[in-house]
Amino acid sequence: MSRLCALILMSLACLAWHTPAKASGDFGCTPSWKLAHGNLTGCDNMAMLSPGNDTRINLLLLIADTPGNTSALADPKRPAPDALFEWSTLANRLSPLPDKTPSNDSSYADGEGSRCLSNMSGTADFEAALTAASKLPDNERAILVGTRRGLKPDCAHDGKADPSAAKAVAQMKSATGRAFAGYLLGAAAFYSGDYDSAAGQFAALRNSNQAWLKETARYMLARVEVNRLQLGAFDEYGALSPTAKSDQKISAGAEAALQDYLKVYPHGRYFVSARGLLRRVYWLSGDRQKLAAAYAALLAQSPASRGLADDALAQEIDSKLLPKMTADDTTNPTLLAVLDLVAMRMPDGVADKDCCGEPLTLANLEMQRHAFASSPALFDYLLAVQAFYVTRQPRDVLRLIPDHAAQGSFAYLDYSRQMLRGMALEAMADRNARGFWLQMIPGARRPFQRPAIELALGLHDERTHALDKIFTSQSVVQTPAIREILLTNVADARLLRQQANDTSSPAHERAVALFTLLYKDATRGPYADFGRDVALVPAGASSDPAYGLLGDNDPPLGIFTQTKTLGDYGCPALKDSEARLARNPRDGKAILCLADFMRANGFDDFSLDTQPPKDQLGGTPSLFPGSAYSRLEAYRGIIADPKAAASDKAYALYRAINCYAPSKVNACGGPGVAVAQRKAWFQKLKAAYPQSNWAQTLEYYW
Amino acid sequence: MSALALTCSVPARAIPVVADRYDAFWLWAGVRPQPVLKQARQIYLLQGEVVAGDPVRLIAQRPAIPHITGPEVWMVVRVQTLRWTPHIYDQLLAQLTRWQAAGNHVVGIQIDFDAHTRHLADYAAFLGDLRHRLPGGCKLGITGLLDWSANGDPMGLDALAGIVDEVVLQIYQGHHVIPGYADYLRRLDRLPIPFRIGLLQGGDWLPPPALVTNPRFRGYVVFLTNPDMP
Repeated sequence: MSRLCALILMSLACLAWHTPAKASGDFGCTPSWKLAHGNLTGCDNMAMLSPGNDTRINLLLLIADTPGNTSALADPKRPAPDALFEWSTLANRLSPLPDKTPSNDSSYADGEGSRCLSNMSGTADFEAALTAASKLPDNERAILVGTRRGLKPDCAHDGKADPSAAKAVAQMKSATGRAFAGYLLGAAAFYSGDYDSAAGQFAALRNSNQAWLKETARYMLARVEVNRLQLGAFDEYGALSPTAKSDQKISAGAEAALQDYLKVYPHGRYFVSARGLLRRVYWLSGDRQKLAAAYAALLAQSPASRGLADDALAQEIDSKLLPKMTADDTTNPTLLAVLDLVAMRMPDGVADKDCCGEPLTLANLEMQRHAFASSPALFDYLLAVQAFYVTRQPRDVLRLIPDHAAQGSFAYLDYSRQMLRGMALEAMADRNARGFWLQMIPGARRPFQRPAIELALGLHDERTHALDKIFTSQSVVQTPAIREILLTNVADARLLRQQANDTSSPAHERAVALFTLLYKDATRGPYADFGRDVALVPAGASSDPAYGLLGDNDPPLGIFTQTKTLGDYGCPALKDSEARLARNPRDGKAILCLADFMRANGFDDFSLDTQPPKDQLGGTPSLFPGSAYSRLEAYRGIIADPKAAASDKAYALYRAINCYAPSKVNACGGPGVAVAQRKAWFQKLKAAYPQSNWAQTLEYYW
Repeated sequence: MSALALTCSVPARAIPVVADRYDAFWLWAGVRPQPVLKQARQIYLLQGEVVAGDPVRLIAQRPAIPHITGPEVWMVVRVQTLRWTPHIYDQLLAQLTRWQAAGNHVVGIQIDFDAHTRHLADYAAFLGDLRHRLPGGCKLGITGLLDWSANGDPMGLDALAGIVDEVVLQIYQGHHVIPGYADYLRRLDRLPIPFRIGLLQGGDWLPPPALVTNPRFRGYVVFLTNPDMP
């Protein structure tokens, strides 16, 4: 079982943790290979708008549909992503940065709005302005540069302003020099938390004849007010304090100062920063409606014009707006849709039954209809999601979303609509479901769209007993993980042999098929087949421990042919034991040799002995005859066999008892036995085979 | 993974984790501080996230610098990629200095990265380099996947053992305890590193019998969650 985890972990790069408010938590990623995801897991995001998606993913998909957004175009040079993915995978794929050198210092809307963050970039800007100032004597310029570089703000405490700025002022003779020195006085006061003095200095420069000083002072005046607003706003953990009440007067002052800068300098050097600060003011003062309006405006812009990458915008909306937003706070269809999808989260299975609140009702959704007047397709989709996930009426989905499976290319909303229609067809066992998925394939051109349709086809063909269709040469299902999950969990020996021999299949898939075939030949009964199939193992195949099967590396087929790791029972190569079992499946020595091979090569609880849940890909009964391998069951067979040799019995007892060492939990598969049975085995080993090595080395039972 | 639910026994007597009974907590972004933090001896506080992209960025996840008096603080960095630029290291160390200057008793940095079970040796190389850059006295911790104890490459685990001061193994994913956690935990004796167990507030937990006698077991860290979180 644990191996299965490793195996799937490797097939999708797995994430553990991330941070959004609506999606808080951490995730060791193991996706559920199915289409309907009613609740957030973090690992099961899809390219369709969905209640189970991370809110940021739903946002990013809607942003990608904005007219003119080119980020969602598929890049043929990059490998096809998987059907299910985590947030960072989509963010990296769909959201190019507005430029390649973003200043980490100028973003205040998210992260820390500390007054000190701009210290480094502020120094460089200041020096550039000094260089550009023509009427500044060189000696004064040198003093100003040195003073600015010496300003080392103590960001954690409010303290005394650095006295060097005051010294510099005294040394200035020229008017230009005095103006720049005045700015330094303001900066020193600002960085030391003396906001009144800072405001006084910056206000005096608002009409400076130095363009840089004039603009920067106006911007800094606003920042002074924002920093004033932040005093006492945070608790000891650096989180927004639930008890702090923001001062309406201060927040109004900060807002006015920022609006003033934005109005005077609509193309100013601090425009993006000031606009981010404005959102921070709304957030600090709890003004959700203004905050929502600010995000609605940004959603309509390109990353370049808003100065914020798509993923950063989605992240910020998720952490600053969504946690407290209600449907009354906005009429923006994108924001409402994301909120509604969260409100339609439903339990995914029994373990999840307490996950979610009362889901959004049709009546409450209908109350938002007017807000979607410009986006009827999106509204109809939300109605269909409500029908599918909340009231579970797939027939209503078909009524709400007409068939439009054949499209040249799908925007993400179009794609979501048709995917949901296909899921409704499957839920109603419609006989055209497969044809519907196939019709969608050519238009699924944007990143992450096609693999999900392949998953739909995989689920469909597996459940209609038509696995062969996936593995024909014309098959549209090409995603390696989907094909390999079906091979390892469901395929019979004939199909595995076919894929292992098919030179037109990818090398990794061939190796996975052969590994699965050999493993199941060796452990489930067709021992004679093992002798033939093992000849397919290429010379020089790796025999490293099998940490996983579906990962990047080829499975270590050499394990089945190597003669170094065979256990402690004087066993021959595996193929010799298999040959003995083929002649006599009750051959005690051969049974124990197979068990020791499995033990020595770390195959306890191996992924090939487990299956996914029934509703997931690979969850239907295996078509390979026989049952999952258990060492403990093998030992019990020997122990119970009256004809077994004494030496075999002793070893079987020794190993069976050791299945529980040292944790008292059965590590050897099978249903297990009670501790009384282990005790009885221990006593039997000691009493009946006292001369055996195994009786003499075993001191305890567990 | 839900496959586990079918194949593994879930201990019948597991009970929900009540945070009041513990003294070390993770506080993640977006999770509101709770009164139980007042009894903390250690707080693992998310500082930021190293985000993959071009360039790789360190994005702060707290809206302000903490000022925690009393408990030891681990500054946690969620990491998407190990391809750090020199600027990331500079930012991280500057942030460490600022947290210390604000009066926080920062004992170490915890890196939260999903190292694949097979690639622990690569991860160890990254951590070894990071360790050299940290100031003396600053510990280095990591989070770990449960799977490491069962299937981690022994050489990779040994390499980690020489570098990190502790690993916190999470027994949950998303909002759910991993159903088969007990089966993973039985192999904890393979783990050559001092470890803690990371629990989920409100999630199920039943300690395996051998845990308290494991000489490397250092206790628990509880991941706090918002009570109204879906």
